[in-house]
Amino acid sequence: MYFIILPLLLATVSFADEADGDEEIVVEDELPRGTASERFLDRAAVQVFPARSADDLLRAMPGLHQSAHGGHGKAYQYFVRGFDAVHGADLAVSLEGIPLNEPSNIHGHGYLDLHFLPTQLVQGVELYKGASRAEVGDFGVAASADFHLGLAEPGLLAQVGAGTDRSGDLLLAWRPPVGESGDFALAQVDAGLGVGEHRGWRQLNLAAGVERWLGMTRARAFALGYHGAFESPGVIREDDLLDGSIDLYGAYPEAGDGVSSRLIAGAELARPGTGSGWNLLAWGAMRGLELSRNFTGYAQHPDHGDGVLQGQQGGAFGLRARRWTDLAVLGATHRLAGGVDLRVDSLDQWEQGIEPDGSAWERRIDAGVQQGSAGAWGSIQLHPWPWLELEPGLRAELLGVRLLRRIDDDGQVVITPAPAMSWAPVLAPKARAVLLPQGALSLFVSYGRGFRSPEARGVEDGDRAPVSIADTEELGLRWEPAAGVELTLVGFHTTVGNELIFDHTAARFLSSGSTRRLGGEALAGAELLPWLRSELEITWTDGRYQATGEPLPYAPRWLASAGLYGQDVDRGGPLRWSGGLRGWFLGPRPLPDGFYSHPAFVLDATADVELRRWVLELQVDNLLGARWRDGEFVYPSCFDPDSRCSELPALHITAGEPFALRIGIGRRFQ
Amino acid sequence: MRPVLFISVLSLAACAHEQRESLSVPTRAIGLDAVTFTSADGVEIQLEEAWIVLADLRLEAPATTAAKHPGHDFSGATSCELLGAWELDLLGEARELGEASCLDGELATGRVVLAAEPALVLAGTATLVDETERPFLFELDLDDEITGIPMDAVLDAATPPAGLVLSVSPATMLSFVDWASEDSDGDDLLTTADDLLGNTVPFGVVSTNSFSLTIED
Repeated sequence: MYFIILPLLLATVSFADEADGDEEIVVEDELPRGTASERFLDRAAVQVFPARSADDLLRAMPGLHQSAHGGHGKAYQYFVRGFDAVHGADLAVSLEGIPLNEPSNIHGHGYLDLHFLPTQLVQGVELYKGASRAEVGDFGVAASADFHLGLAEPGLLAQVGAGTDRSGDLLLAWRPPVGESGDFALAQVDAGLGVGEHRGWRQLNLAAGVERWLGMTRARAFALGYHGAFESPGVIREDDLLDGSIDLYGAYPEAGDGVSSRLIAGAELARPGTGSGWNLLAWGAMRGLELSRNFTGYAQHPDHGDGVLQGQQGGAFGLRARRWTDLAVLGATHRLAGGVDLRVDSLDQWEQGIEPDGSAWERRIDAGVQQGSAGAWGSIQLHPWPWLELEPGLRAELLGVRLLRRIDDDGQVVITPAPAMSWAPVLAPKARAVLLPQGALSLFVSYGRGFRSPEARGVEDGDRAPVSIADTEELGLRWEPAAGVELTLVGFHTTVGNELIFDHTAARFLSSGSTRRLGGEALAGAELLPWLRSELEITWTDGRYQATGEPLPYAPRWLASAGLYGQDVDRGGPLRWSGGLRGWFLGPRPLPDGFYSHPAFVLDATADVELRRWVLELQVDNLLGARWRDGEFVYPSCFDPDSRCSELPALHITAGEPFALRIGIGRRFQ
Repeated sequence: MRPVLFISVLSLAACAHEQRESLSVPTRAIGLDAVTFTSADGVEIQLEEAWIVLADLRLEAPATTAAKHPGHDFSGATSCELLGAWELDLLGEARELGEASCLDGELATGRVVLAAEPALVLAGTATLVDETERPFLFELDLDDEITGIPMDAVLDAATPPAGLVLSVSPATMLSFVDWASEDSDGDDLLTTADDLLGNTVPFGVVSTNSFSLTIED
């Protein structure tokens, strides 16, 4: 718990030059746009976006779909712009610059679990698609995001909640009356049984942060801790659903469970300012994860069942430095920026085949892994003419992997006397251009190379580590015909020269050949009334294997959403309110070998009302009560060990969130 | 914004795709046309008894060249399946096995399980070129699966085939037998206990050439 205690101790240190207590609010779209598809949510936008967790906020990225096939506690599965990013392999997400993807996680490379981050502490989130930002490194293949941390409201908020999903939660959040949003302490307990079978969860979040000004330098430290245990309902077969032998919200006895713990702490010094600035960040993280699952019943191991238990413990630390300076050349100001990143992970991980009673019958993985990356980047934002902005950039990265321990074919643990080591350099060029950046009509062009490090267990000693490379070009048009009205059109094209996939059973990399993604996005936003804004987004993506022309499985082809977001105009009055209503449509997705999934339409809502320090919070999942399918997978399975099992591929379903209403009532104390 | 119109238009646009369809294919098994046949080396074989117990017929799509994501991304190779167990008299009439459940698409190989004790009985007399008669009785307990039975067909749910035929050839099964083998136990009957027949007979039985799969239009 020292990660929590450290910032609290720091908070007691008296700094000579404290900033005043004015609340720092990041205004949406305040950051300069480098591509048409970028999107920034400030705290107000976060507040009105229906989101149960920080993961849900990523849905604000047009073209991103996420699937919660593991219950409340496991990382989501992400799909973005034709990529099946699995649990985060192609989506780089950070918190105040701290990379959150977990390389070589036992359950999936780049595992992205945001349950440690309470939505109350999200001050904003930057959402970027493509790979044109030089500061983004590993896993920034299809998209990237950065969360901003802080607590918006000063004082103490004590809130209790309950929901029709048989849930309850208790929240205590405190920010000193005088201080920055980075000064906070938070404790949250959330537990529930969920709607249906085997969907329970319980989780504890603790967080603390401190922010001070040392002259012109901002110093901050923060830590977030999370521990959760959850049930994972797994999949159900469609034929079982149709013949009534199981309900959509049912679960087979073989369904899984999970326990997840995470501690993340960071300390940052920053010198923001006009003309030049710098930023130094040091961070550390600890991780514990244990997941059991069985998606195939007894199809592969009729005698034991196909249950799998995976576990991991480890830690990571990193350093990040940024510097930028403005240069005046030939009457124009240009910005030169650069930085370095260092990250080291150390992991112990294992996987066992387990019987239905949970006892292990086969040892499959027992590995010790060290993985590191060192990157440097630079970019220069040129303004040769007022109507043109150019920003070429380059990122150089060195990726290294050491396998300290593994298991041989006989199931014996091998302590490698000379650890298997592999490394690879990556050069990732970037470029962005904006025509008429200050105009009502702006044209954006960008290119970027994204990359993904190798999964440690697949590398061989001395090999050059296999790195997945993707090149994305984007062309966008943004038009603001009137105040509060915005139209954006984006076209994108991504090629992956060699789609590398890690085969967990054989612990080796498989080549799927080259792939390409082609797509377009249309976004429209309008301020209908001073207190009401509407947004409409449509994304189409066509992803295919280049050699065969077959569609890439699982990635959505059509995604659309429409939302209405409102808040009171007079934020200083006794009554404050905000709310959002968002519907999203997921078109049929190509599944392996010629199958297609079912479409879904889901409507979510959120509302907050605050009157004389009393707070009422409403969250509604799936307002229309749609029985939708969150995930659909095609493969053979056998959940009846006494039957003659079919090997024909069958459709399997993970149920989407059912209707649930959660109400929270709280009171603020100054 | 009219949500209903919005959703309807999107649904129409998004649903324009071809879903892989399933179909049922009547399946039957056939054995020999005649009880007497001549091997390649001139041995005349007369079968008096020939039956086999088969189970779980499965047809598979061609192997994909591009390795796909393991686990969820691999739907499995089986595209056609008929579960059950059948005792087939290879000297009798063709036998209806049932309706195979299939998915449309290419088929490249088949497999079937030998699932009984004994799984196969072949009995009769082999008459060698020099007129020597070698009575035989081969009973095999094989817990095995015949894999890789070649076939080349495309199933189309729009024009389903008339049937699927599994042919079993005792002649091919016996083609590896050296009929001059020594009657090791001296019982005047060649069995798998004699000489090398314990190897050559099973080798012929599990040979993929002993089985064939054809689609009838």
